[in-house]
Amino acid sequence: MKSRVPTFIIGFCIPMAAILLCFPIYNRIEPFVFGLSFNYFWIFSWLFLTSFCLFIAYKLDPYNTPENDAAAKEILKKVKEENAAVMAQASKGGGK
Amino acid sequence: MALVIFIAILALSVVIAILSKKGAIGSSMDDVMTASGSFGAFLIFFVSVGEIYSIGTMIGTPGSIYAKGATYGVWFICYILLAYVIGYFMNPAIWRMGQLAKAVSIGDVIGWRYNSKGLQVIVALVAIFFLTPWIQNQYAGMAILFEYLNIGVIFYAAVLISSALAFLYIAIAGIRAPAWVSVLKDVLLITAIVVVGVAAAVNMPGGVSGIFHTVAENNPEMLVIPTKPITAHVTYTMSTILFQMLGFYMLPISFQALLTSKNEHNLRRNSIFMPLYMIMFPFLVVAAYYAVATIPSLEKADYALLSVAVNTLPEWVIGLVAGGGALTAILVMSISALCVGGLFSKNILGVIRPDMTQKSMASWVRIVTAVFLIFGMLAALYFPAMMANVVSLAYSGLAQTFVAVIFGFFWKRATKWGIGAGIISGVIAVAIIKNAMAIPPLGMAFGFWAMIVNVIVTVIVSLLTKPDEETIRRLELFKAAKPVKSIK
Repeated sequence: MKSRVPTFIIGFCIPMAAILLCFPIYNRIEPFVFGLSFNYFWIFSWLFLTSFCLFIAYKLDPYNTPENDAAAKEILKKVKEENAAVMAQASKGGGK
Repeated sequence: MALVIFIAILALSVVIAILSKKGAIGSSMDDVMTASGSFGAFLIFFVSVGEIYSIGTMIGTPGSIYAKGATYGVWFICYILLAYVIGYFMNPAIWRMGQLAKAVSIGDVIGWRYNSKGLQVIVALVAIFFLTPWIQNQYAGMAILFEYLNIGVIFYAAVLISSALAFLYIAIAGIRAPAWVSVLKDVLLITAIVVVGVAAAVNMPGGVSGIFHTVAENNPEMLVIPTKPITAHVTYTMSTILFQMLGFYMLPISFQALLTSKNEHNLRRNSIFMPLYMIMFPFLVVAAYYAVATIPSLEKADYALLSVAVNTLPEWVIGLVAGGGALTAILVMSISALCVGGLFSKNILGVIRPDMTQKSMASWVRIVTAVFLIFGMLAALYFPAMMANVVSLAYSGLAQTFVAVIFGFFWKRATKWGIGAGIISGVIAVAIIKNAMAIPPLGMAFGFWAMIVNVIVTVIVSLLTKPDEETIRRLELFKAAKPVKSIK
């Protein structure tokens, strides 16, 4: 089984750390970068960097292969059918 | 000239709404509310962003920065950005549970998972109650737009026209019409914001750098979040970001948008593009600080963006800004009202009268949609409030359902009694802290406290009661539907 841990670290932990944990570091005016105060420079950069992190996470994510899409569809269909069968049984038995 | 462009934009939106009806399957409940789950990645993207970036984004963000400084800029941008990060991992699971529950709303999903009609009603009531300020916010935004721009439409006429249009979209093609119109709305909204932001930078000696240096010199307290006194700003900002990023997808409209997806894969892929869509925020921030630097004494802080537009742009562009802003407000009203219509008809009326047909339920949706629009309109005319506060109130209440959804994914012991008590105590905590305390304890956002109360009550009451067999079976079912990773 391929692990989802790298996906989680890159797609979740890194953006969270950069924006929440690093707050005391980036909450400052200087140095100015590209004319922006440092806090806004940092946050604006993370608009793009978060997207990039999610892109890498998406690529690493074992859920996103075509085989997995097909399998996921199958599983969901099967579970829905099982559920329908149970529900039909229950309503026959006089329950809800 | 501005008026002509404004009218043209609204007319175009109606044409799109009519065209969107083509290919509609019918007027059943599923079709009206979620287009029977038939939207591909493209439309899901626009439906989701269509609701989030409302006129509050356009007017409220710069307005709040102008009034209160960086706290609001940082808060707005960060919570949405981090919500997308959470969404990548959480949304597919919500969608899957929605599939099993055959859900069209957040009430359906939570009600199904805990096997409780009562819970379904509670969630629907909470959602409707807290969507009212959301829709009111759209009218308040329009009021500011028409008051300030003065393009030849009086506010009352604008309110009536927009309510009529918002209803017209729904009446024409259910969710399909606002979904397609939201493409036009997003193009206009972003264009308008970018144009104003660029105009601000071009008009300032030294460009963006000039704007930020001027503010840093004259009003440095507007540019960073003050660290002293610590309770007043940093903890408030952080706690607000924390609970709003959790509550983001619990907004009934965002939640409903997830359910319109065809599969899980599209939801994950969309998450990559969501942060890029936030590219409008830098332009809003630049415009806001341009206003701070050059237009120091505005009558109302919410005029900030519009005053920049009026000071720097030709008249026809003002028409574009007015049209984009108004269309944004109309669209968000339309989708919110439809959402309330669905919640009320299916999750409240449907429970009271279980024998109701799909067809009459779908007509109830339209009736409630209209009533709710009128209600929001009256609320806006008689109880205006500062926009950012309205949003934060709406979030504090809506975010309470997050606990129910997350426990729903994995906690076997969670019972309907626990979840119900948790949501109710969370909402009561919002009301108490918001009204009875001037400063919330430790300076943390009141919604954050409410969520803590919610979790504690949910856990205690759940442990004291027993989940019924059906509730456990549904959790097992959900777990069984989880795709396995071991294909290769």
